[in-house]
Amino acid sequence: MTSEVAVALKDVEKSFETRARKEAAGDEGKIFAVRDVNLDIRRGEFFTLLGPSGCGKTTTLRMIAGFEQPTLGQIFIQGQPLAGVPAHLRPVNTVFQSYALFPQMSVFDNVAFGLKVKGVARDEIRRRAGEALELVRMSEMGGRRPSELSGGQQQRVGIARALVNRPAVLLLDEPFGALDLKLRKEMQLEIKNMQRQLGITFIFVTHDQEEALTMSDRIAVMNRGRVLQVGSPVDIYERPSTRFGADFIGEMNFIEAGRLAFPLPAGVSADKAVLAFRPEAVKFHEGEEHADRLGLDAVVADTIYIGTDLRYILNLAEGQRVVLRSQNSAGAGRDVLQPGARVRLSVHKSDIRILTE
Amino acid sequence: MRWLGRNRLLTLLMVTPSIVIVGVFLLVPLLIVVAYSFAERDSYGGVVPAFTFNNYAQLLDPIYHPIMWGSLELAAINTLLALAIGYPIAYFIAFRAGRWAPLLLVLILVPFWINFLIRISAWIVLLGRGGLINATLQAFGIIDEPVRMLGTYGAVQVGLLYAFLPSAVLPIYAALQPINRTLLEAAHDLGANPLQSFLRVTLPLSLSGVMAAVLFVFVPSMGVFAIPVLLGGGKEIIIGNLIVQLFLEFRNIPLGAAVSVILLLASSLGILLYMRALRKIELARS
Repeated sequence: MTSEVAVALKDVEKSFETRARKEAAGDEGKIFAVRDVNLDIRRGEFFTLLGPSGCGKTTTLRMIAGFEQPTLGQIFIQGQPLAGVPAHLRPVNTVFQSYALFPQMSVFDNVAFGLKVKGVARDEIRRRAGEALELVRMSEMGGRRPSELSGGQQQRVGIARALVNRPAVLLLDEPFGALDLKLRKEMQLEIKNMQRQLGITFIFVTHDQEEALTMSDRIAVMNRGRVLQVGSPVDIYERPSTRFGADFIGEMNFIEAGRLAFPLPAGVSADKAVLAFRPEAVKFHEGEEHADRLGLDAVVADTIYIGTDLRYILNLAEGQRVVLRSQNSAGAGRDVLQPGARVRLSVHKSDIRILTE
Repeated sequence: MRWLGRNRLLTLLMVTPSIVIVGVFLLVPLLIVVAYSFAERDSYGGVVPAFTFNNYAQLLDPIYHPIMWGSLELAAINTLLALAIGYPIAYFIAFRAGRWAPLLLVLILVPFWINFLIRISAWIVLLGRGGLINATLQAFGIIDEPVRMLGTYGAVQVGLLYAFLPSAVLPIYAALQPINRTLLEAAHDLGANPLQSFLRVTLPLSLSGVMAAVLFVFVPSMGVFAIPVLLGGGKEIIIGNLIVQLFLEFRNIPLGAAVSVILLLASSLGILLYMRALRKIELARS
């Protein structure tokens, strides 16, 4: 499969001079919002920038949109460099977290805005805006004011308003951040389907790892202005490359490698390495020890019943804490292990990641 | 029930001072002026109680038309100039001034701390024959003879503009400042160039401020009298001057009162129309 690159970021940096003390600002007297970002986002891809607040994901998106200029580096859309191209001439459109609908205009006029300012003929505006409203199932609401709509409806209008311009890339800046959980889940599936249907490249920004895993073709995990890992949801979840990524996405147990007799690959020193494994990879051990399993002795510290799952908080003999998650099969809730119980745990070695960063 | 009665009594007791003050110092003088406008004058300049429309009928005399139209024109031009200059100032403070915005706002308010008459008198110093402007122009050899500025229509216009410019800047600023900046980014993002995003987003959203500015400038511009006297040499008679003249010089208090009532009605009509238009905007927005 030849995958065409829709958006490319080359050594992109966004930094601010600061008068703050050097120690606080780092070595160069600058604060880095984004640093050394290199990304190739493929055409038709649902690409997510995932990270905690302040990690630089929104700044990256805003640089692609043209609201901010990179201090260093280049951004390309379909091979064209974007330096010096103002936001209104870029083939991208943005869906904002706060919807940013024009309050003085009707829903229809909001959607028609981009076509009107480009001087598209009136008939075509009516047709295309109508289609865009239909796409987000808001055809009935064209005459309403944005303030008469619920948050979810407003964001649908925001999406229609952006898509009506047929952008090469749609940028979504935490579009569901202000919606309640149930609605957010609905919208996630809807947006994902819409993206598949339209084949437009989506760049999606979120701090919600579950949202990122649900929707994305590929995810870039960001922290402190840098991209730590780029990969499919499966890569990101099952093969995290950094301790931060392993911790941020899902739940992870970490044990310092030096505390256990665990065979490390050549060149990895035991005092820097950390063993990481998911709570669902931890099992209560029955029967004999296996060479391909890591055995651990532990004492149950706490048991948490969360409906679908049972979570055990366990103290290892080596002095660290491990979480075990088991699916709550019917009736399992009845014979839950009590705090203080001594147990033997095992983790399959293929489920253990050795992280050094 | 008894408690409620006591409560109401207490409320009444508390608002009484306000009612008395507003009544005695605002409503009663207003009613006196209205009553005067229907009265007659005696030959000594006194007011004779009567009920006649003669004063109003007298105002239909063509002699008053130029004053009425002149005032209207002066106020209208002043309003347009105040908007044309005030809007960019307000826009700059709201969108571009950044951390200097509070200082600029204070600078706009500073003149209000000085008495109005003194501020207008300062313009005499600026515009006079040997005033600062003439002296400077002469010093640079741009003019040979001092230009006559004081006592002209232009001087009145400049004085009016100076006096009411802050009244235009402040309400427009108040309307511009809260505009969500993300809306401007959205307009930009959707392909609007800076002019388009101003005309389609910023301007419509600041319209309530523009209308307030019109009201705050136009209505008092009609009634002003010190500026034409001090800067226009009293020759450019506008409604404000007319009222003062009728009361103090011609001692025709009933006629002066009639002019005042007409000015009051015209202003009230303006406010009414403004409120209506504002409600329409608010309705459209919500």
